[in-house]
Amino acid sequence: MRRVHYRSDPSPWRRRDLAVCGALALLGVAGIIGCWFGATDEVVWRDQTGWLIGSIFCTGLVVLGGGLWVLIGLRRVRHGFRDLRRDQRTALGLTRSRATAVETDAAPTGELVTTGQMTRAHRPDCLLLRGKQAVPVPAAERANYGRCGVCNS
Amino acid sequence: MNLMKYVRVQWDRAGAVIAAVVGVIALIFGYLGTSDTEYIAEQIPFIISGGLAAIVLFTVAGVLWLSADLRDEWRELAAQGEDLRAFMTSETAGMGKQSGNQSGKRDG
Repeated sequence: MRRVHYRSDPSPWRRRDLAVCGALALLGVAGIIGCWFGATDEVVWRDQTGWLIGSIFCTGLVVLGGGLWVLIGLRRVRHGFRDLRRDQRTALGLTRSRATAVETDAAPTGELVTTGQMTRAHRPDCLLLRGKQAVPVPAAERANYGRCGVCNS
Repeated sequence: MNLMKYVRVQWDRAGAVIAAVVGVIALIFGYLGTSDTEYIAEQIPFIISGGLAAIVLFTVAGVLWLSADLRDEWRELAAQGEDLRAFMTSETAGMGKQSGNQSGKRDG
């Protein structure tokens, strides 16, 4: 199914979202009206409890439909902002392709660094080392350290 | 901006306000109806038509208001996307002109 995109779609909701949420809400409203007629027909309150419970359930359907609508909208807007940020990065030439980062091996010289308290070895330019005193990891001790998921060491 | 124009432009927010007002009215009528009688069998229909209908109307009001906010966000997104596209177009045109000038100088 085609994704909703901020550039091409006029609203964050599709027709299908409107159909699903609208159907839930309409079902709920119809149920409440039906339960109201049912409850007014009864003269003993014990016989009315079923209708009351039914109407509470139908109110829940309306709330569910409305909540679903808002959640879908929030999600699409969040995705839209993510797409916009990606487009901005692409436009500014700052795109960092995850695939190429994964394909790239560790530093060609094999130089990895760590700090005294770290249990993983990092590339020298790793973000996690920012502001920390790094020391090189000797090749013989490299097996003792884990690999960093941030810099793909 | 006059009221009708505002309602036409901001139909979702206007709908939210109307739904909330009708919800308050339903709640008041429901209260008056239930307090008017001492028989539970006569009170339950008022609970349904007053209390639960008010909950439904408040839900509708909230959903309409939040949808309006989300639509605004979406329009803002689209506008920023358009700005970005315009920026990219102007940048590409500028680069084309620059390279054309350079090759012209070289030829000259």
